[in-house]
Amino acid sequence: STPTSLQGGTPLQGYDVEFDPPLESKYECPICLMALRAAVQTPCGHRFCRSCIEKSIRDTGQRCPVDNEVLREDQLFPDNFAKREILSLMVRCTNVGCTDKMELRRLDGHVTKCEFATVPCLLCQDA
Amino acid sequence: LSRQNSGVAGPWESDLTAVQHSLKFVKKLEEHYVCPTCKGVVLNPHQTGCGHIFCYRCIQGLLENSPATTPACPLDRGLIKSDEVFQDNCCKREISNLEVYCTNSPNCSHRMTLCRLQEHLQACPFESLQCSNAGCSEVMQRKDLQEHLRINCSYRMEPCHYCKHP
Ligand SMILES: [Zn+2]
Ligand SMILES: [Zn+2]
Ligand SMILES: [Zn+2]
Ligand SMILES: [Zn+2]
Ligand SMILES: [Zn+2]
Ligand SMILES: [Zn+2]
Ligand SMILES: [Zn+2]
Repeated sequence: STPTSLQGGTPLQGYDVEFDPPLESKYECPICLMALRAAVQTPCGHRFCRSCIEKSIRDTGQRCPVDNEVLREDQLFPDNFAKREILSLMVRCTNVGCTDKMELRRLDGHVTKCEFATVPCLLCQDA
Repeated sequence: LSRQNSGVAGPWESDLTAVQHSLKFVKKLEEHYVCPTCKGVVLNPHQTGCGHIFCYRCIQGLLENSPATTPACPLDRGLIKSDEVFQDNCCKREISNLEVYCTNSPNCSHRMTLCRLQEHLQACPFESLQCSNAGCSEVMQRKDLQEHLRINCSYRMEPCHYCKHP
């Protein structure tokens, strides 16, 4: 499996990583079903990844996908509380053979120097 | 304060201010549900740009006490800008579902979610009430009120011994 970057890749859905203990549902995005990335909150009290809800408003209209309440893009507040909580949750490195466990905020740094990372073979260029 | 009508508290929390600091939660209250200013469970929670959650009353107090300057968050000294503060209805829902013991425990053994507490107190036999008779200021538990009204109250109406009118 490939390491999930905290920054890279578009569109930016939630964090698809292995939480240990498992992720609580209150920190799960109802759209992508992953851990909230750049969490925002709606006036109706629902949390989404910023890019997931912005895409939903653009594609399916100005409604909250959970309870169908009217929702405009300018009503989304950055939920910095949820963001901080999620970044401090414990996750496992997904590289085969690696047993390291760390806060989500440290995963990117770990993956760049993980001993078990798959590197392309210098001879055949295969991963 | 914010772009939402922040002053409006849900009906279940509007009367909880009086008991805010005597609430007994069944599970230990998580740290982030405790208001950094008043140290009670956050009522009508509002979140700041630094991601901390306060009672509406408390954040309003912080903003009003330093109108010229931007107040600092007591937890991380982050500046509290009023346009970043929003009504945290997600937190509100979570808090409304926390289990509490009746504020009249141990006399009353009821436990319920926080949003049902007011409703329970309206009927709780152990809730303290003042006698409803004009002139009587005696306070007693609801379960004793009927007897007080019937027998003990010095201000109760009694049928007149002579004409039998009350
Ligand atoms: Zn998402
Ligand atoms: Zn909603
Ligand atoms: Zn690793
Ligand atoms: Zn407070
Ligand atoms: Zn703060
Ligand atoms: Zn009771
Ligand atoms: Zn009386």
